[in-house]
Amino acid sequence: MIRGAMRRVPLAVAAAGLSALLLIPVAAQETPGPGRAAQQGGGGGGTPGPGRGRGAPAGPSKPTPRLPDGHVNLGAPASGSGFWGGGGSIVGKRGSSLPTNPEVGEIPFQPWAKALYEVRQKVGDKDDPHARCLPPGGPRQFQTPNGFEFIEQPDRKRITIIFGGGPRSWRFIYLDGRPLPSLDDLDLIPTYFGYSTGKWVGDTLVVESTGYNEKFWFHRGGLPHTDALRLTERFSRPDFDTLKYEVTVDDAKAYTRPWTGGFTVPWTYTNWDGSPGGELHEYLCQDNERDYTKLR
Amino acid sequence: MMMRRLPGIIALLLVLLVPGFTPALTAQEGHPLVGTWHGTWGPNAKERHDVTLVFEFDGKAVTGMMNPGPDSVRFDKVTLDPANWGVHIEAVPKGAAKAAAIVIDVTIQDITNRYRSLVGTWTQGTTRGDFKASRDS
Repeated sequence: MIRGAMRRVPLAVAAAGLSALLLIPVAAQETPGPGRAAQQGGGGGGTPGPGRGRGAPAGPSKPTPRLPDGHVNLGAPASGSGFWGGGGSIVGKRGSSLPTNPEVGEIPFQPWAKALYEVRQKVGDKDDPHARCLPPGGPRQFQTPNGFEFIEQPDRKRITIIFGGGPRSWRFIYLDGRPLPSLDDLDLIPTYFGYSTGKWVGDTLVVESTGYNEKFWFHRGGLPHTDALRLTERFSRPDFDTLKYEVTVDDAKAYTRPWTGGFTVPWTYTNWDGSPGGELHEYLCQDNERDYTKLR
Repeated sequence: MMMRRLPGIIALLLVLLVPGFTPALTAQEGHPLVGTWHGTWGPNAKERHDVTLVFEFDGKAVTGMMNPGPDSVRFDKVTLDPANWGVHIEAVPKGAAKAAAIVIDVTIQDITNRYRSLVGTWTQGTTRGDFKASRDS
């Protein structure tokens, strides 16, 4: 029995290796998207900054939608469609960033992290892992083009966030009261989106996350983080058209103390090409990358 | 006979080849020194010594070792100067009688790149040579 299993090991390894080879992207990726210009603070097209989203009807926003049990619905209403259109920055106060955000000079960087961030700011996105289609964890997941959507699954006591851009990934937030894993747990496998547990505090979904790997930039522009990163995110919906996102960054290896920033995200009523629908469209980073040779 | 060995040969080849084709999947974007580096040092182009360096960072100090295994040498001192990405390393090989202290002075090249490297000098006793290592990505 054991000998038979051992004979199958090389075949299994060969199959796994072949699968790995087939899964390797042929080319690296940049993720252009309809919302990119607006998200970077540029003008023209894309999702507007603070205020109403693409395709919003005239007049003031509708009130915050709620589910039958009374808590806030972060997703589309039962008889409607739409999605969140991509947010601003947790640094600075421009555009849809929160007025309480720290400026760059107020971020409590460790010296190495400050120096690395400054270099990344100078060289731009050349070495950004997300530009090669790697998943963007942390606040970066809400800054990517092509939007995102919350899907609440009460029967499973979790919320799934799906992302329309980049590598088309998803993230789970568990609402069943389970504890976060310890970073000292040898069985913990660090991931791009970390491990998230959440609970409703009034009308705010408070999410704690840890267990991140170091293979991505958690914020556009390259704010550094380490495997010690712990995020506390607060999601609220003050009106139908606005998602308020606030995050406390706690990473003692990269910052001398925890700090907080955030932004708002507008509800998008249309498809990305402006046509009626309000559905996340199929965008695959791997299909659209054109800059591999330049990025390298 | 050959056919029976074929899966094993394929498995071995893939195990050897796959890591070389998957750099983007294992990039490290945190503290720029953390991780494993491979390189060589030597007094000239012909006389080279393979070296593996491993660095860790606990939020306050960088620690690590060279050549993990029975002959590993732990670093006594590692400093990183973010102003110029200069790295100074001191270590004394243990076990070897009268082993000369090792001093490595390098700078991190192409700091934002997952293929970044350490380039500088290696001094051990009266021997001085150049040193270059690349981070395992």
